[in-house]
Amino acid sequence: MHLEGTVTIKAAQARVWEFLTDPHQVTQCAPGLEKVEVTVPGHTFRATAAIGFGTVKARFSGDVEWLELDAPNRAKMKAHGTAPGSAADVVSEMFLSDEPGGGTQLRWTADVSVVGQLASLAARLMGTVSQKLTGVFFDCVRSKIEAAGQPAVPAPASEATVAASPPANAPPAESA
Amino acid sequence: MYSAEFEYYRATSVAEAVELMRAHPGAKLLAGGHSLLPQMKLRVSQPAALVDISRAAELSGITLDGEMLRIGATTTHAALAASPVVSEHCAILSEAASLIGDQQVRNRGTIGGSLAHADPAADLPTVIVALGGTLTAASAAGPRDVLAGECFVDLFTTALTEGEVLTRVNVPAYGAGTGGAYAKHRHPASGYAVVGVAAIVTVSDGRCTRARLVVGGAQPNPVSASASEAALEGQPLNEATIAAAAAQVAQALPNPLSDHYASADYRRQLATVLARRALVTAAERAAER
Amino acid sequence: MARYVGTPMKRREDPRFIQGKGNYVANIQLPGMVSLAIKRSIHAHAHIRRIDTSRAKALPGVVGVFTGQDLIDGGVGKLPCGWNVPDIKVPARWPLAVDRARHVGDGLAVVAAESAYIAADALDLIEVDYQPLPVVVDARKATEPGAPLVHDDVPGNVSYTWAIGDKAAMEQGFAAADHVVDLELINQRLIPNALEPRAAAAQWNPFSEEMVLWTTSQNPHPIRLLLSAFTLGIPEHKLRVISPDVGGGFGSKIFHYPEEIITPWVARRLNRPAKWVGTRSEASMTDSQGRDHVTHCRMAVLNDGTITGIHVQTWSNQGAYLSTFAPLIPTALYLTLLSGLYKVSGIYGEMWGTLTNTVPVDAYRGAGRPEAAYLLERLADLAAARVGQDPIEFRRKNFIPKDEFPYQTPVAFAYDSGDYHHLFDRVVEMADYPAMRQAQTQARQQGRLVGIGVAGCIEASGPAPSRVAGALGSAVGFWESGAIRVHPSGKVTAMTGSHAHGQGHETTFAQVVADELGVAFEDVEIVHGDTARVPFGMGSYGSRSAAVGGSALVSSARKIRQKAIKIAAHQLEAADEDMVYDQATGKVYVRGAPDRSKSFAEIALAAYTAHNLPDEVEAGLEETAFYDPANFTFPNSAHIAQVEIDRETGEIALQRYVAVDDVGKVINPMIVHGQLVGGIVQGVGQALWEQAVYDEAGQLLTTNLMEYALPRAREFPAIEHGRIETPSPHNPLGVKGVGEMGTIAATPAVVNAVLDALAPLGVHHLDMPLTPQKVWQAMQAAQA
Repeated sequence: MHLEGTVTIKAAQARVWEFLTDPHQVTQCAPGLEKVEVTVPGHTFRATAAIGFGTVKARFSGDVEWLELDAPNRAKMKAHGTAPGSAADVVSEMFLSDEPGGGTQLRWTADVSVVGQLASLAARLMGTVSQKLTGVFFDCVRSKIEAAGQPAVPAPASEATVAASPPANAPPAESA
Repeated sequence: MYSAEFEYYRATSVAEAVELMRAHPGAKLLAGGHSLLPQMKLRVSQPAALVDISRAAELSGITLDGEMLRIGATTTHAALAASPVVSEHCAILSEAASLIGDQQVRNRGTIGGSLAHADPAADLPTVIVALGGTLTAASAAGPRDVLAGECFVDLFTTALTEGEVLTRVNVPAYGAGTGGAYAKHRHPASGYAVVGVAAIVTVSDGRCTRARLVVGGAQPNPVSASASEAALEGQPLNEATIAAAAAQVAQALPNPLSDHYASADYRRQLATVLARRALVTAAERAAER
Repeated sequence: MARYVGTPMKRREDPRFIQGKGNYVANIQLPGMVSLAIKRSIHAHAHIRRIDTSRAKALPGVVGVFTGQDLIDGGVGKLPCGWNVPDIKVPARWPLAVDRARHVGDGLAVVAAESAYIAADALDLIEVDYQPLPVVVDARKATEPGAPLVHDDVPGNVSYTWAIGDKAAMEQGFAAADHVVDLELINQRLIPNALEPRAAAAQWNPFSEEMVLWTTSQNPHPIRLLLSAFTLGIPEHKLRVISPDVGGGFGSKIFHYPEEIITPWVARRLNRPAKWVGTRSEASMTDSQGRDHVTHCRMAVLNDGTITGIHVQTWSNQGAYLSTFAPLIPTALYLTLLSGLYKVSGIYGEMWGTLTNTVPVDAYRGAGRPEAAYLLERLADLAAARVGQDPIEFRRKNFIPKDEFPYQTPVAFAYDSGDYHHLFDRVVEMADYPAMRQAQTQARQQGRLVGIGVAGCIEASGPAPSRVAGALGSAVGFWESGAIRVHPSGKVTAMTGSHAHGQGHETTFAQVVADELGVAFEDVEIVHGDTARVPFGMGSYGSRSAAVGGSALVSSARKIRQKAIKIAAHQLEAADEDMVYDQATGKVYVRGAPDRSKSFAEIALAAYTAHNLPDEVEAGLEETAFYDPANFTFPNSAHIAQVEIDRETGEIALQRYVAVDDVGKVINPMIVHGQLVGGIVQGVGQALWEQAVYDEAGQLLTTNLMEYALPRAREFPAIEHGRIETPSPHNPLGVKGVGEMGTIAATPAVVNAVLDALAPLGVHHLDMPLTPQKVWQAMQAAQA
């Protein structure tokens, strides 16, 4: 399943880059985070988090690997996580650019695949859930950066607030 | 499959339940268990402890208190469906309850469990939002009431906080000239609402003074079809006005759920058709009161 | 003269079933028993880089954890394929996969623990390092260039091909045609969903080196043979296989499964009894699945409706491995039925058996015959519409006339007996078909979408003459055993190689034996399902139990009667040929002098005291027969269904269902009725609700009953049912078999009804299941 979206963050591009590529900062947006362990500095780290909604959450443990790092403009990462009876793979690319009028535009794509228990149990909700989770994640990234730091330039009076826009999600594929 | 190991506590009162939930962070409440236990058996959910409230007498019972119907959170769907008090004063609730799952599920599943779990495909959340009223909850911080319309926040997420116990559902009894109907398209395997529509109308002097039209199953939470409601208020309720209002239901569904059984488009179609049919029935019932 | 056969006696097995006192494999408890759980692949196709079982082994209460390699090192063999068509490529199939998982659910490791709960916990501690591989799930796409290979040694994913018929005659038939109807259709994959999930329990005796295996099988003897000859390495005489009460099968419990090997292997390895009980989700991804054909078919007709040619090409999805009888289903039980009830000379069918990253496929209620009947009846409806004929009129014109039986079809089978015109006369009369059509016309004038669907179907049942089976590729024969042991007191134990998992043999076979011997029903006990107590039998499937298993008991009974006559004649000092065996009473008397008689009990005791037996007659009174059928039997059906479609939602209401079946003679009409109604419900299930759904990554999305929609009683009107009887000339009971016929006809009857309802809108074909969304989308598209 392919998802994409855009979020505008009131911070300098360098600051956004730093947040995204620091395992200890970016994982603040992983819900129910239990632990983070850097395995290869600047390259891979492990994390455990409870992913889901409300009462329905699965505990995923996994590895996150930076595949391509083109500071401070583009990053590509892949995450592989397992929960009891399930596994999830996400390949995500993030494109940063200066927002005219200050701040940073973060455009992201994510290719998500879920196998095992959750793929069948959550089949009826998979599109919605993936959409929401990625949206929530990047929204959190924005608010953490904005809460912690100062905007790089004073916000113009007419600035519009932007929220992560729900991406068009591909319909579930099927066979006979 | 078997669930992971858990500790089991039985609460005989609300206070005890609240205290047990406070003492065991991450614990889950067990009433009928028909949403929780399947998740646990498939190990999607692995709570360290369960607090069983099914035998707390305070949480059971249905009473008519003036113009409010007060329903204990552990009231089963079967009890709701069979209750003469509910059929008399808030028939849409017993109608919806009678359409949940199957007899075995209705004998165990509870209104509190259904509302707290907030499954998009459940029936009762849709009806509760249409009825309005409040949900009473208890916690270490004391009791509070949550407005029905503000209860369902996100997918499987309510306004209840961690450790809070839903104790009672309070819904307004029908006044004069009020009628309601719940119509759903059942998923052929699970019996869940692929789309479920709750329609409640009040008619006075041949005109609709109030219309509530809520669609469940199509979005992560029940959605009020406000444009449709507005189109009906002040109008006589006939085939034409109802059809015109129902035709606007799709506006309330910008991004419906979609799966193998029902696409977004098909859900919009179902919502439109079920809304019209539910409104027709609701109007007929309103005319009888 | 029959006292029991033909009467609707209540089933003597029912009291224990409905009170929860059945003895199922899951009920077996033995001291020191370990519980087994199996770690299964969550990927449809993956290289298994490493399996780390250390954390699982360290969990308190875990007794052992074994991988596929452990089992191979411990002497297990590959699961064989029992039906080998020419040039077949049989991919290797181990009880647990070793370096590659090929479908979601493919077993990777087994845990043995002190309790099922600990075993389940241990599963989560087994870490599997998967390297996902590309996946293919579609039967036809698997053969396209560039498709991922499921097995490196099966090029193009084609395990086998098969064809039958006369291609030249078929092409002539099409050349001579006025119209050709051409259809691409899918017979979708189904999950059998027997009420009881599979289970296995085993106990090893290290002193006698004997193994007892309890398994939920429809055929314990063949399983014992396969275990000893191929997969477990325990000699047949040291292996006892027991199928106790089994809760349904529908074919899914015929095959040899990995768990039947793993369970006894672990029991011997750990020297502790072991038990594995499957869950519903596990069953959904390990029980052999049904159907899954992608078909291109054509029918040629003349202007007057005569069918001149039928051509079928089918890609049949085998799944990731060949299940035990997989190649039989789309070949000798499918393409050979392409004549249907019709007299057609130009028929040619060809198929490809292809491998994909899905659960293996094999027989499921009907097993090949539903697939044939479905396409024929869809083509017939479209052809009838093309030439402007009523669907029943079109079919009648093409039926094989009743005076042409036995009828040799162009596709191998010779039908035994039948009267299809009479069959349809009956269903037309029962349904008042003309009135149904009139009511439909009126409903259409009101804008209602009412549809009437017809299906005339046949099947080949009662497999099978062993010589024929061998010639077609079977590794085994298909006779059946029946042994009758008369005890000195005159009571009777009858042992059958058939196995009941819902069919009621304990009742019906007792009816047969009691009538054959002239004893009381209560005095006959039927024993089945235990290789230590019953002579080798081939088991129950293909609607064969009455035709073949029942006939074996009839043969044994005949031998008992012959010996009884000899004993009575000798003791009454009369000649054998002057004696009469009265099957109504079990008495043997001198013809013309009925007072000179011996009762059955007297003869039995005499046989065992042996004080006065003829010289050439040995003591004892028990006989065994192995009955090899002369031919298949050919039950047939005429069903009519009426539906109404909600224009706004596409929802389908089944308003009326009328069925007339010819299943030959009937032993217990109540049970036959139950079989037909149950079969019909299952057939409608395929038409309207059921489908095993795989996504493009090979993930099975319908792993439980929240997603996989089984039919519910409330969706059905009362099924109106009648029968005609054209006895089969091929077995002494005259029975044709009934287990599958309802399923075969119901699917096309309902699909035809739905398409008939949609015909005024210009919708000509839809693939099953006909969900409301699918119907609604078709209506939208047609109106666009």
